[in-house]
Amino acid sequence: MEKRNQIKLAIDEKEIICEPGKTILTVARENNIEIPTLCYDPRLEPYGSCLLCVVEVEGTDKLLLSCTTEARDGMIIKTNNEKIYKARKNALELLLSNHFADCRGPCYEKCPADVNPQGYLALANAGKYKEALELIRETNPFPLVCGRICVRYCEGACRRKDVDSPVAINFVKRYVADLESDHLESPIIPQHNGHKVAIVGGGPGGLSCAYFLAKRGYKIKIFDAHPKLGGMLRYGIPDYRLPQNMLDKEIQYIVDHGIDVQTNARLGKDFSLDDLKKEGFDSIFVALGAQKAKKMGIEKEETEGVIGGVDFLERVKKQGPPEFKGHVVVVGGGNTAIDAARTALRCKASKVSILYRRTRHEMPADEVEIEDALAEGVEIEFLVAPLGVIAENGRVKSLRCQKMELGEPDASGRRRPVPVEGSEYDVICNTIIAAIGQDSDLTGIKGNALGDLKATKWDTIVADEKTFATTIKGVFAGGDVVSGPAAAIDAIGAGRKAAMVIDRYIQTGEILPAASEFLSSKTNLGEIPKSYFESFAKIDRSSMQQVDAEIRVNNFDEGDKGIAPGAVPTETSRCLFCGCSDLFTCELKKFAGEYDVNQKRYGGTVKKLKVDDRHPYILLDPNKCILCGKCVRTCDMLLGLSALGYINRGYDMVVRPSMEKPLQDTTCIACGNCIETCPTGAISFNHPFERPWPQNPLQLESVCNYCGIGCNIVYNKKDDDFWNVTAKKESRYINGELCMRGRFGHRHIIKENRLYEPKVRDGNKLKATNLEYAIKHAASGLKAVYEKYGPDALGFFVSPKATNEEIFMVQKLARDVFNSNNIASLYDLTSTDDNEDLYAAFGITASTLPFQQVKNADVIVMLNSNVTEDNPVLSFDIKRAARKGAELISISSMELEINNFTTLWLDTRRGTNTMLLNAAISEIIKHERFDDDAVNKRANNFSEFKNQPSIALSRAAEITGVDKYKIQRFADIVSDPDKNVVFVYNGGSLLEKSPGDLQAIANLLLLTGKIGKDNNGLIFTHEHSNYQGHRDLCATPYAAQENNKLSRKSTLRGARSFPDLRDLMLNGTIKGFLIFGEDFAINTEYAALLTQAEHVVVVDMFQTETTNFAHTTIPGSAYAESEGSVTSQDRRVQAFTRVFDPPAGKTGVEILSALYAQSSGKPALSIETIRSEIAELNPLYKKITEIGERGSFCWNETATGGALLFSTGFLTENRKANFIVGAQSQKPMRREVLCFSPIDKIYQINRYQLLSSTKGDNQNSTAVL
Amino acid sequence: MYTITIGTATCGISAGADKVLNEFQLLIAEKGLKDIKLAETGCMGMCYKEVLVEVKNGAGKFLYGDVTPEKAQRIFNEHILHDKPVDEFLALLDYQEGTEKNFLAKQKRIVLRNCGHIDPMSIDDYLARDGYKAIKKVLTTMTPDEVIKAVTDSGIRGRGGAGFLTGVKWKFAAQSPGDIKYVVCNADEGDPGAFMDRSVLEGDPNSVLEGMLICGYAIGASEGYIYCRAEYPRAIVRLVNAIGEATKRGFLGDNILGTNFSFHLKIKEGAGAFVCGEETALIASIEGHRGTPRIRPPYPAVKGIWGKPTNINNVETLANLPWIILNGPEKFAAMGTDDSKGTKVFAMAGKIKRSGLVEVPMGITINEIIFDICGGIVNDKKFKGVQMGGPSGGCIPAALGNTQIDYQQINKTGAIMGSGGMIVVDESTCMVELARFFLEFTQKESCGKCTSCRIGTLRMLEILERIVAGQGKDEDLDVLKELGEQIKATAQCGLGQTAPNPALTTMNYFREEYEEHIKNKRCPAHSCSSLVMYLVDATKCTGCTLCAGNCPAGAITGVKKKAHTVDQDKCIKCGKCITTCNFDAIYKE
Repeated sequence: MEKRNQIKLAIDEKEIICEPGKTILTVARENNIEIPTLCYDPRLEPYGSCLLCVVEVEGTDKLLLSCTTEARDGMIIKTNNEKIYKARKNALELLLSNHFADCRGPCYEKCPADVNPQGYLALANAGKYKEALELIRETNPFPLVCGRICVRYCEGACRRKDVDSPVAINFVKRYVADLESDHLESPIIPQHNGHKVAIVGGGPGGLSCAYFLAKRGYKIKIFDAHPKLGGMLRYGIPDYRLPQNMLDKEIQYIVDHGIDVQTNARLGKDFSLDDLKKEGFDSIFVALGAQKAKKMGIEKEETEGVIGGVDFLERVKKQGPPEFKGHVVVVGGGNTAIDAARTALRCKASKVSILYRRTRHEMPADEVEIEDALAEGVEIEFLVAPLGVIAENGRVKSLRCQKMELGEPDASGRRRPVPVEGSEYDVICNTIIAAIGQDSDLTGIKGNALGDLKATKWDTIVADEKTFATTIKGVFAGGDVVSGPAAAIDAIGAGRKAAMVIDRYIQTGEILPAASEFLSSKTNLGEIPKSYFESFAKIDRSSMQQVDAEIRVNNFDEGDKGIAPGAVPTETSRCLFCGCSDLFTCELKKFAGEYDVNQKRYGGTVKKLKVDDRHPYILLDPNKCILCGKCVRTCDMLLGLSALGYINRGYDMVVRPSMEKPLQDTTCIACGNCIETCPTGAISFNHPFERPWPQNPLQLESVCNYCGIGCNIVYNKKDDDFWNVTAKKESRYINGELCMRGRFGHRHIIKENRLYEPKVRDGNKLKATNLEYAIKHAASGLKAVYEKYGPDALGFFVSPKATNEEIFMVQKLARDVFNSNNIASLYDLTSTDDNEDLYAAFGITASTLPFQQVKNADVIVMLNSNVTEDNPVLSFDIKRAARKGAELISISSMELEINNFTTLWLDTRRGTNTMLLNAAISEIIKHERFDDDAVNKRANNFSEFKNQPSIALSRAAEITGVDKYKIQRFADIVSDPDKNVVFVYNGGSLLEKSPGDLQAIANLLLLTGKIGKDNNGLIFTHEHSNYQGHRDLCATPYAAQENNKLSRKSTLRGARSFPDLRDLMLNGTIKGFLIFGEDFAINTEYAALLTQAEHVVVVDMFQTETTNFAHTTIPGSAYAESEGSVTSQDRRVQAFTRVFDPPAGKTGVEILSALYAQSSGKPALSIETIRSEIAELNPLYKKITEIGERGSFCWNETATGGALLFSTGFLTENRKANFIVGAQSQKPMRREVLCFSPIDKIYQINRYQLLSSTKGDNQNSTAVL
Repeated sequence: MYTITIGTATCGISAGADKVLNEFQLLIAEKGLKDIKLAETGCMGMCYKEVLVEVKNGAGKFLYGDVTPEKAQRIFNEHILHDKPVDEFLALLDYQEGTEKNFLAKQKRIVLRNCGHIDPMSIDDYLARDGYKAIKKVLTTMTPDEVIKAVTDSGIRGRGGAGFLTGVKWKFAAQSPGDIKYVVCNADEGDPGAFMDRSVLEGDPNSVLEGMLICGYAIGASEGYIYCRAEYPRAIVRLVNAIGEATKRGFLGDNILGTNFSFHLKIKEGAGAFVCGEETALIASIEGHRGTPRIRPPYPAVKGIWGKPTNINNVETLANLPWIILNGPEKFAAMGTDDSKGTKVFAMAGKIKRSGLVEVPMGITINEIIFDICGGIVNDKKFKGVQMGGPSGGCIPAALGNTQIDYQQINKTGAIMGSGGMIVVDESTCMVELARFFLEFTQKESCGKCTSCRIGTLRMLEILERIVAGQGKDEDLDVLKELGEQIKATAQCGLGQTAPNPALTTMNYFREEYEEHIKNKRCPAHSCSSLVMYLVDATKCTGCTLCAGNCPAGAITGVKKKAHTVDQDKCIKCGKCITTCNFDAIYKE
């Protein structure tokens, strides 16, 4: 027989040997060969819609989809060549030809300095002014300046103008800059990278370039001809618009980045480019600006009394305002003309007129500036051009003018002014200011040995538009000296971009433009439908607060006072948030960039659809959908829910919630896995609490604290807040999926309803205090009780959601300091029965196999488990197993969601599950279907067990209400020696529990030999995220007993059982409580106990019923605010570290450690010490000392640990298991439900309340910590 | 004694066959004639002459065409009552079985062997013409392997379009392990202008059932589906009847003809999505899912309906099988070319004199079909080309009219054999418009799954729409060609892969026509309304004012008895003036 275990193929000339049966894509990925794809998800069946993953296989004409084509022996595969490139590019161009969406909002796209207005508006809207300012400063070091004088391309592009008027973006910028610039942290001067760059010209362009290069470690020296830095910002803009101190502040901040400055140094006079080269500058950036006033080119222009616009402004700055007399005429229509006119007014001119040769409509000056000038009394005459100066006594007497009319449009698109014959007239005036434009002064660039910088005929330097490279290598130029006079923001942008090019040039020698991103834009695809704008309510634009014109015209003080603080929320909420929240994660954008896609190539019809924001967490924007079907397949294949589906066919096809209902009215369970699988922004987080804006957050891993599955989550963190929570990819758990609580529930924990202040009781009131005092108060309170009544009067209660380290510290505090064994979780006290564990059978109660092996099971039996509600992520894997053909058996009196997937539903009467299991056991014994080897070699007492009275099927049927053939079938299936059988049992659920059912499962597993081997055994789940750790670390008396045997640690004597402890409480013995993260007082009986207690210490994240009774309340910390570890229900101990600061300033374990130190007089314990003590206490946790900040390990019965439990033996005395004889109790469950079990609460909480709840939700607190 | 047989397939019915039938019934009843048999039959092929009525007695057969109830009265009065055939109504003057000329001379009827000869509702008629003899032969004398070998030896290719060797396909299905297998008859005939399958189902449903039985036996399947589009209600009625009759006679059901072979058949009505003719989409549709193709492999032969091995054959393929079994594969293989064996049925439509259904031996040329069988182009205009294979096919220009009917030969031209639609166009057809028309069809029928088909076909269509509207851009042809080739190379199912064919082939053969539209804003065929001007030939115009009176836009003005003029700004290009003018004085430019 031919043996073919391996095939050989070549991908991109790389020889690969692999197993057969895989797709080309899989094989390529395994060999680190990247093939782009948008519709492939390794968790799902391949679909093949996006066509990006095409490859060429030698001998085949057609391109093949690597996601679906099986790799075969001898294949020669190319993953990239011209043909493939073209096909991919074409597919992307087709997709984008119908992608009616903006990557960035038009404001962002239009800003030459790449400032992100949508981002800072959102931050300002959230009151995060500092973060808003930091965001601006990322690309623009001049927020104070630009907040005042920017020409605001952003506002020009703002889509809000089609609703009412553009958002006052710049007002908000100025607001945050004014508010926060004094609070900037002092600059961090990076380590010098050994290179230096000279900047010639200290205007906005030069300074911006200097700033961004300095931040990258370059040594910078700026040369400027003026006495002070700032260029046109300083000498061209009057103080009443831009106060000197504002400018100084920003320039100082830049210079403080270790920048050298040489002022009064003019290029060509005081130094030359050659000199700079000689001085060893690696590169030179020339940003001379355009500061020479253009001549009007009229007769007698040189007459005294005629001055250029910028020359005039500069003179005012340098020499102070002159005293004007009479009439000042300003010629020109730009901002300089307005500035000159308004300055002239402030120089006491009796009359100031502006002459402009076109009409107001064509005037290039800012509309606001024109308005302000008119208000101050400047007169503007339109359609007038100067012809010549008429002098008298060598001074200006008047200006000869000519009337104009508008003719045909010129190259700029504005109508050309045409002289009206015979319309000449004279304007009597004393001073004429010619503000018709500026030129650069290029005299200084000549005569270098380096060669001459090439100049244009318009006196600008020739430099590449994108790389800023001049004709001399290593010399770059940008700003007005290249572009001609433009706005400050243009120069700032040029400076920053040049910095990036220069950096690259110095580091690599290459001169390449900064990488251009692909940016999709709605306007690339035609008009935005009017209906879009109609959906927004009209809100008036905020107005600038101004000093009255009559007053401000008398001085040079700043006339604009900014917008009212109260206007900021309204103004920022006017933003339409055009940019995509997936800007940094969108795969479509990424590939479009890589394949140099032209979105406008095809043109044609574009679907323009409504965005669906009805779901509280999930936002559907069908315009961004590329129909990759990942969401549909995820929802169908992972969840079996099909909440999303395809509607229509062909080009009209869209993904919509099923039956086109609102998503929340479908079968959607709000797990949000569709968001994460979506390669674009078509499905995204719908944040009701925060304006969305694209950002690139820091990703920090942690562990979810909602249930015992222990999913690995990622906090996408920005500053002290987080943007969202995503699943860790390649998580060891169910392939990086999350459930609703795990994905959307964290804001609730970390950001809302928190306790922030420690409080101590003073009479009837709780008074805020500091942490140190609170800890002292707690320690002395507990001590007092101890001293008065002895150790039994203290009770220590710790949540099974606390970290291992916290649990350990609570028990250490009890046992070591107060010599008490009254340790438990409130949760444990809900039970009056003790017989629910597997101690007697196996030596320990725990899952015997890792979660991920569920996938490999042939039979999955679920009892006492509503797995889709309790542990949704585990249910995804169970459903996947079912899809692959596993038999799903549900034992439940209730119709559960998972029953839709079961092949066998045993609908028992509640409380009779043990009977059912025992009947199956009897059947297996009767028909000798047990595993001989297992029962004899691995167990101690099979013969005794076998000889128990057996239970007849008919009797079991009568009691359980389940058809006897069904029981028979169940027995047959679970005892099939060829099948992998996994039981799923929720230890925390009270719903279907019957006494002895867990032990009956143990018996069944032992009997059939389906334990201690891969893909077989028990998954013991829980809804408390560290229930296993709680047991393992002896917080409970019972667990302490168990593990005492292992550790032989003498301190754990005299453990108390739950009923005993309960009695002790109810009879009033316990007078002092330490309650860590549990809401004790939800139960009225316990609440009464607390009122009688002498000291109650509560550490909790939330204000709860219990905190009302506390004598000391200390704010606790969530996992994301802690360092520590938790043990998931499959015995994996996972460490995590702090992502956020805890509200009290100390983490839970630090608080406990401080309390320990305070009570014992011993030093506080570090996390490392705690972990080594844990290892000592419980040898199964030996490896906890090695897990560090984010490591993990899995404990089992061996010293080395491992995912599978009991493969080498049990944790009993003789390493053999015991059948539990008598685990067949038929008595009804005796269990007093003393408090709401969290699981019950989960049913009660409307799943959509999780995020929207804003008022204190006390019920949730136990479910949380 | 006379037998009057009326063709009541859908083509006949739509021409009024039911009225004619009714007329004959009345006439017979009126005269109280007992010895006259009135029968129905399926399509006889000569759709251009519908309603067709055959009058037969011992003396011979007479086929009347274009029969109306009025003509029926004359036929009845003269021919039936007085034995005087009405010569002027005869469809083929020298129509005599065995010696057909013209329309039938070059045809070879295997698939259509019974169509027009039997009553499709009567299993006895079928049995009388060797019906169910093939399955009997198969079940009693052949092993499944022998059946597959016979089919393989015959060289028959799948008639659905792609032309895969049927024997090979069966072998795959036979070799696939599985206790349950399916045979599917693909009767989702969706090409515009194609009606071969419908005619077979309406005219001879039992031969399809028999073909499925043979296949089921050969591959080891005992379940079958006929996936028939719901737009074929008459075919479904006849299939249901045939299944009922065959079951009654023991040709379907358990233990057929006393053997161990059992076979059950269901009809699944398709809801009219063109793409459901694609095998994997068809399977999805049968399973109750969205009719969307999935990527192959796995092929249906391995994983088909409900994941079980499934063999899917087209109606025409299946109808061939009983003949092959009974006459032997050698006889079948003797017909045709090296590559393509047997016969092929074509639905002839367009600008030809005789439209209808023809069955020809492989190897015949396109010119022979168009000129010899179908009598050439209407009004003896110039033959320009033929669109083969429906919207998925391509256009073969008149210059390649000598191309043989052969899978390989046709593929070489850029067109495909397809399921057998042939649409003949003459010089008055604009090839750009033709491409646009077909692309509009496929674009609408795209399932929407893969990018290049979903959006790409729309972009192609938009370009073509632009060109016919006179707004084409210089770069359009290059973009069109590149896009078309990209779609062909990357689309995942047959629909997408072939959708660009009409555009690509017409661009290849008639590029100058495209260029005329783009560069000179002119439609050489004077067909694209945006590019056509209606003008008055002043030398011919008599000034009768008829056109002006009929112009709905009031665009024609002129003084009586003087040449009129068309105001191009007002003209809506409806063409009414041309049809109303009695003097041929209006022309298009």
